[in-house]
Amino acid sequence: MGNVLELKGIEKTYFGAVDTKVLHGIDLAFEEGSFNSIIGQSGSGKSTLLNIIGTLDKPTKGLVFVDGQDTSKMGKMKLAKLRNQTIGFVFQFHYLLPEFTALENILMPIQISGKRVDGKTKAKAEELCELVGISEVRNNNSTKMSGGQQQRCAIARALMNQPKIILADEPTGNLDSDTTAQIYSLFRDVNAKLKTTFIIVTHDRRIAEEADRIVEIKDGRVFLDIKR
Amino acid sequence: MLSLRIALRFLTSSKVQTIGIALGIAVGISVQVFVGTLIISLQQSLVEATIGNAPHITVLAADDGLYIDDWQPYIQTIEGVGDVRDVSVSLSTNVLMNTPDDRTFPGLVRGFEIENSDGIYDISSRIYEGTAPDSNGEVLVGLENQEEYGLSIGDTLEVTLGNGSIQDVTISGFFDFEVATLNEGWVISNLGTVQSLLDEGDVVSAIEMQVGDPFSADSTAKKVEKAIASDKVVVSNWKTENEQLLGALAAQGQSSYMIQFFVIIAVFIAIASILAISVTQKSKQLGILKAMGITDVQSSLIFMFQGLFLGVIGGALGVGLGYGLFMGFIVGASSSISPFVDWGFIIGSGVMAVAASTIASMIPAVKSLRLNPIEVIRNG
Ligand SMILES: Nc1ncnc2c1ncn2[C@@H]1O[C@H](COP(=O)(O)OP(=O)(O)OP(=O)(O)O)[C@@H](O)[C@H]1O
Ligand SMILES: [Mg+2]
Repeated sequence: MGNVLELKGIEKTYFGAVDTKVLHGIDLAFEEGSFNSIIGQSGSGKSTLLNIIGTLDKPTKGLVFVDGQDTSKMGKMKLAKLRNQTIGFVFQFHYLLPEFTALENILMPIQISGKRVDGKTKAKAEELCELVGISEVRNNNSTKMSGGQQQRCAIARALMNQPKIILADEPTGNLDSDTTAQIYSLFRDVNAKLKTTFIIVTHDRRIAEEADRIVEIKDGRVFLDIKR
Repeated sequence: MLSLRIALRFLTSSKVQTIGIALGIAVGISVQVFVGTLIISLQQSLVEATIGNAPHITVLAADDGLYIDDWQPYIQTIEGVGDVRDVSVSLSTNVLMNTPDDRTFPGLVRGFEIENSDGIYDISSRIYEGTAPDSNGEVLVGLENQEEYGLSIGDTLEVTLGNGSIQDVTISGFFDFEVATLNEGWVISNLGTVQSLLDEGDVVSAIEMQVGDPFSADSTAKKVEKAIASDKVVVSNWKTENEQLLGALAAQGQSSYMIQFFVIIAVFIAIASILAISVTQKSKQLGILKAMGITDVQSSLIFMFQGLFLGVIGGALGVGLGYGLFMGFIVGASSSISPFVDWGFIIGSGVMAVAASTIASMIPAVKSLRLNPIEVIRNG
């Protein structure tokens, strides 16, 4: 299969009182449908890299190709659309909208895309609730769920638009080991069923070793790249 | 529409804050409506008091002290001018009145064709005792004079004219214009009586009329002048005789605009700052919405809709409150101001609230554009 994501010579410098160069020329490509993990010490630049991949941040130098498109040539509107259609985000914190119910949060990406919520999309959202195991609390306000339920709800939301890529930055950082295991097997299921590409940043080596590929970042460079 | 739904949800999920802002707007707008309506009513009352029972346009003989003798044809000409109504004539002369107990007071005897003049002066309904003069030689005397000189119906008054001639008239009734100077100064009679007192033939001293729009009485007066096209008469209107009043009204209007301006500024600043705070409050939500691909237009609209709704709710409340306060104040204080409700102004105030708060919400809307989702995501 082809590459759904390509990074070419990515450099990132944070400009400030002291300029900090965080990424020093990263070249990576991710195959469609692959399940990848990114590991590395705290401060090595993992989140910075993931945000650049997700077009939330811009590299100081280098190019990001998402689904074959050069994102440096895209305007704000196009990038927003790309993120909405092609990328799903899962962060360490769930970032559910507290004003809405779990189900409404899951439907949010569809609504952002401008599509109407009809019976079919609603059924799909319910299905996702089922998949991540929050059916019982789907009509709860998002603040009225447990931490694990909230994170699973955020995952369902990331899956709603059937994005080609899921970017997850320490998605289980706040969860206990049982819930963590559940969530990874959920990721694996989705990866197998929908051929969604996963890129997961984690501290946890054991989790990383479950992935098809481990990329280790050290001091802003690719230190290890192991495919299995 | 997503932005609309999010805006509504943001508003309903922090009800106390929403109600607080709406009330703030409402208070501002109610002050605006109350003060504005009060000033409009004051002005209307003032204008009404000044010209309600007075001619708006008066046609007089060009030479002082002379009378208009060929007045009949003028009437028809004047009645043909648009906006003119209640055209009537009067013949007035200064006299001394001698009472039965031999006391004397000065008066202006005014002869009217009473039925016609009612359109302006409403004389018939001002008679509280007796009847209008229906035969020559009868007069009406004002309230203050009746009380002062102990007069009653049927009493004879001796009238001394400017030329020295003395004639008798009989009192047929008493009037009260609720204005002391008129009650004391006027003796009202019919045209025929005054014509025979003066012995100048079929003359009048003035042709008087009212107009539909008193504030354009000057331009209507010009039309009247043009229609008559005679240099034997001059045409005057109430505006030239009341420049001070008009100046005062204009000044009052100005101060009313000032108040309204500052109220709107206050509403504007309140909304802009409160919604700007709400951008910060909702930065997490905005950050994730942006990560999920919400566009700049959508995120701006979230705040504009909030502004719009707050304006609509606050404006409606404010209009209701201001109107209620005004009616309560006017009715409750049973003041001499008669309420004049200018719905155009009131609805305009409500619309202004909506416009001000929507425009004010553009400030937070723009602020929301600068919010970078990474900031939110990095800082948890
Ligand atoms: N906005 C910023 N301005 C300046 N420096 C920054 C900024 N954001 C991150 N950095 C620096 O960039 C480096 C990499 O940060 P990054 O968040 O990518 O690390 P990370 O690998 O995700 O670490 P962790 O495992 O702790 O999440 C760090 O040294 C951090 O201090
Ligand atoms: Mg990180």
